[in-house]
Amino acid sequence: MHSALLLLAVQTASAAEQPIGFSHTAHIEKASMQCTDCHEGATSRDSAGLPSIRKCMLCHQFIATDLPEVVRLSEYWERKHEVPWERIYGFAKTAAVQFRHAPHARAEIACSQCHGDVASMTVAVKAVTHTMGSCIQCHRDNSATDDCLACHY
Amino acid sequence: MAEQTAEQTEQGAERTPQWAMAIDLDRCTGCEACVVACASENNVPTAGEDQAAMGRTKHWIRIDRYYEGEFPDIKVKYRPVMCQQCDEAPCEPVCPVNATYQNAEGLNVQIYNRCIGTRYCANNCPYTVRFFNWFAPEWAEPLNLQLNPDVSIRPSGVVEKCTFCAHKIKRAKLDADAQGRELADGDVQPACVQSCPAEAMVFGDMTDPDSKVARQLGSGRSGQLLESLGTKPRVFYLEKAD
Repeated sequence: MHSALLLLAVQTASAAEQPIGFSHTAHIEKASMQCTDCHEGATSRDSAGLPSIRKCMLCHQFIATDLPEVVRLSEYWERKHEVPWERIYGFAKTAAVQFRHAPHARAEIACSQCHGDVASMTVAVKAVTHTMGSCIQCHRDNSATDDCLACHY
Repeated sequence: MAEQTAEQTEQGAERTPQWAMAIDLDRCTGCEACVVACASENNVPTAGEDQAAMGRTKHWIRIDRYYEGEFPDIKVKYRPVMCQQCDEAPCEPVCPVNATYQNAEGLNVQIYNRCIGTRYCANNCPYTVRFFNWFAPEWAEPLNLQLNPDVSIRPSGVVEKCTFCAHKIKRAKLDADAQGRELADGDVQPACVQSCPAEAMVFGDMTDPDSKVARQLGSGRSGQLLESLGTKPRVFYLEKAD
């Protein structure tokens, strides 16, 4: 009972965190888009990044304009505001961790390895907990460096 | 070790560079551009006017001054001093939690979130280049707006020091990797080296015989600071033999 309540609380909390109920599964499974279509930096830069509203509106000026979530998106667009997306992954400043997406993409580590099966999620939830243990285990499995300086500097 | 190297060469695998720096004291003018560049690059906090007046500043690199002769016939010599990245570092064995160690590339590494602040390392460093954070770092405006995102902010209670700009080494490696090439000599430029207007400082892989730094080390003018202590620093000072 308690765990069911807790689960409900967690789910509603993470759904409520985002200003718009963006559905990952609708974009990836139905519209056949790739993660990197919106998170452009994932293969080439340090940070995968969150897309600008201009990117959303490239399609949503014309597509599915009557859906309630898209209407909310258009409201941000008309006010010339970016959507204030909440990041759900990242390291605390106190962790002193420097993470770079690009080398991991070059090593062909799938997005789902660290972010879970986002393709089947509506609003993305934090499905994988990043700890130093999980990072090091993966580095060792893939014969990558386990020098502390690789991440902590 | 030799076996491993042979194997790596056979496979055409990447060599592990051994980082070193050569500083030509006959070129250094003591302008302190390196000191400013280092503080800016590495998010080294300012101490404020009052604390600075009491000598309580933190600099990962400093310029030591040596005076020769009697006034007015005086000659001043300058020596930039940063962490000497010793091969036999006195700071390493005294750390009870292994927060400082020498990595495969010869860097003397300091891991901030492993450090528990005993300060044994700073006390054992003959070059006095390690600094303990008594307070959380602060920057007077507008310096707080120019922090480098590639370098962690060190909290209070830990020791910090020059890293040979480890983040720039990392960046250069990633850039070379992205372009599908080997790391070339001169790709890695620590902030002090990059900013030196007299080009007194050279940084690179000392095991690569064609590198600038290896040529400087072979010039017959090179020596190390407090060489007799046997710390085997990776920073070499070049000066005219007297």
